[in-house]
Amino acid sequence: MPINRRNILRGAVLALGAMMPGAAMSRIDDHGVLFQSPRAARTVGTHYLAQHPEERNAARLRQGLLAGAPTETGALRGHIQAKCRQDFAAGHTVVVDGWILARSEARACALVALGALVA
Amino acid sequence: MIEDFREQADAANLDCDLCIIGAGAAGVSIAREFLGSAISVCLVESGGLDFEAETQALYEGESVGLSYPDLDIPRLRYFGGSTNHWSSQCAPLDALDMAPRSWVADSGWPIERAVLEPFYDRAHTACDLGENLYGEALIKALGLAPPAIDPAKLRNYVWQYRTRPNLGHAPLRFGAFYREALEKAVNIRVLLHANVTDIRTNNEANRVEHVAIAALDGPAGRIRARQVVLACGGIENARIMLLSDKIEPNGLGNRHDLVGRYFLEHITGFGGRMVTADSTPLQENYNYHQNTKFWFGLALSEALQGSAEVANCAALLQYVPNMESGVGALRRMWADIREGEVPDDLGQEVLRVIKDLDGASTAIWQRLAGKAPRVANPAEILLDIRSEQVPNRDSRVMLADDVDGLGLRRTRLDWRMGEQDRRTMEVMGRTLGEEFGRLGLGRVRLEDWLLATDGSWTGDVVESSHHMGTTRMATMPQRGVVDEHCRVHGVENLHVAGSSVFPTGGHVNPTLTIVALALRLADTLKDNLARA
Ligand SMILES: Cc1cc2nc3c(=O)[nH]c(=O)nc-3n(C[C@H](O)[C@H](O)[C@H](O)COP(=O)(O)OP(=O)(O)OC[C@H]3O[C@@H](n4cnc5c(N)ncnc54)[C@H](O)[C@@H]3O)c2cc1C
Repeated sequence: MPINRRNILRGAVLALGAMMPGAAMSRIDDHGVLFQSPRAARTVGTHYLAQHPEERNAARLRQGLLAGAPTETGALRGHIQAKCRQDFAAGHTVVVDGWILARSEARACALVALGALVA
Repeated sequence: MIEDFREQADAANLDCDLCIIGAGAAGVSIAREFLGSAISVCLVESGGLDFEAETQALYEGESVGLSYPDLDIPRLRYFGGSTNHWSSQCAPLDALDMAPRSWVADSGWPIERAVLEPFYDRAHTACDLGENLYGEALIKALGLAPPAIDPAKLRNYVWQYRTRPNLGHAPLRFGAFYREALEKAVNIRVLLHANVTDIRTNNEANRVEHVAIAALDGPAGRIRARQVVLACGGIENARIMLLSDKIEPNGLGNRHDLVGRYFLEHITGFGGRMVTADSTPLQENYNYHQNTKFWFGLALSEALQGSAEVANCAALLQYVPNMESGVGALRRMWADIREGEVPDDLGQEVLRVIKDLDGASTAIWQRLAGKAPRVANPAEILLDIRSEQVPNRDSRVMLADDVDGLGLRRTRLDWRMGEQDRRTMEVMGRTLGEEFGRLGLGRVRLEDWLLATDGSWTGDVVESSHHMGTTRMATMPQRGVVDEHCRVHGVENLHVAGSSVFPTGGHVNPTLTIVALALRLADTLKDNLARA
């Protein structure tokens, strides 16, 4: 999705939604997509890849993150969520531009940035 | 009784059992212990009952190290001392704060934390606080059910304040609060406008013979006492000992070049910010409770301090109210877009990502649905990190070349921090980020300075007006200025009260411990005076 005025505006609307948790959460469920804001995922992923150029390999990222994962988007989200929780529990975190993220969270975003995961 | 030295002809030559120099938290606390006793006490205070600019100017000095406020700003020189502007945020030191830590050079008090416990009880009364109750017991008593942080990494941490109904914070002003009792005391003589200029010993420098006093543009005199306590605050205690150089050329009690060294502060900085889909579970816990009586934050566990080889550190969450409406934000974004600029805010992006992936926050939201957050939609949640500084021999109080209104050399402060201090704060920030992430409470972004290893970070943190370490306590004179009873090594009747005796200061505000140690010293003095 190219960054244009409409998409930025949509981002802004979602940002407002983010301040209203109940409404925002139900939107995620209705849509059944992995990321509500693919642009957001791409931005995080781009930062992560800049920091870890050795991971700029979609096949390997996919293998590590999605091996054994269900294919439907809703279930896929659950799979990645679970991996994030495991990462945090195991101390597998990364610092991306100062943000402390689960490694799987950053890698999922990296896959989006590489165009290898449909957000 | 409370008298003005300038109007007391006989005060030029006084005898008493106990001379206490300085009427701040420490000095007043010790004096009160002798109310109604047979011991004659002279409490010598530089200032009057209120702020006076000329007296306050005696506190001016110079700073040659890290940036520090002008030295007359972080302390007050009149009856009640710096408690005339303190906030009364209190908590006791942890056991580990006082223990020797192999990873913190020059750590370890000569007394164990348990020794202080009964004095902390009494200090709560003296500071007019609530019960001496902290930690998990207090959290339970407050009826809180905080998130299940990993106790191997973090501890729930609560501070107390003095509050009054409908007023909120009402810090105890030691001068104003105890004035009447001291005024009525027949055995206690408070001498205002009397500046101690020299503590004079015998030729062997092992016994104080008299304390020299002078008023600004006024009379001078001397006080002879069986026991003397120096209680002028963490910077001035060292200065007065360095100035008392008539018998000991390097200053009283300074044979091992320790007086003024190891100056410590508590380091404070906004180390990070947080995004969360829902701040309710944070605000319900990490916040003020019972009006503003208690403030609930987090501290590093003892285990993590040891394994990461860092000092003690705490953090509070500050919820910055969202002053502008969402519509306003939308308009601003539109304006950016019309200018052809793309708003590039990774914070918002991360928020969107975690809202997508953070299942736990959804669950928490559902559990707490209906509970209004205290600060609706905070614009930001800041990590307010408050850290212990590790002892540093080169961080020090010295004498400057220029002189004050009494002709005494002013203070020169060389405050220094080190890489272990930054690392302590970084470990705190990272651990909060990892734990809040694990619990699905949100994501933390560390500030750039916290990760900067080039020394530039010191410009992003501030001091806390807590002056410690300059007459540190140790069993051996080679390692400390005072012994475990706060007596100056080698000087049989001179004691020091205040945070200058702290060898290390933990992360917590010092005054409760200052008062606890002062009360302990008062007991020692009672014994000494009874025996003599
Ligand atoms: C803005 C601010 C907020 C603070 N908030 C907190 C807080 O929330 N919690 C906390 O624990 N601490 C806090 N503190 C620190 C607290 O004020 C001090 O720890 C405490 O007052 C120290 O007590 P003291 O008796 O050792 O020294 P002081 O209270 O400074 O008293 C020293 C006394 O000695 C007198 N004196 C100095 N020189 C001479 C001399 N030559 N002759 C005779 N008398 C002399 C002074 O006039 C003064 O009365 C704060 C400090 C500041 C500046």
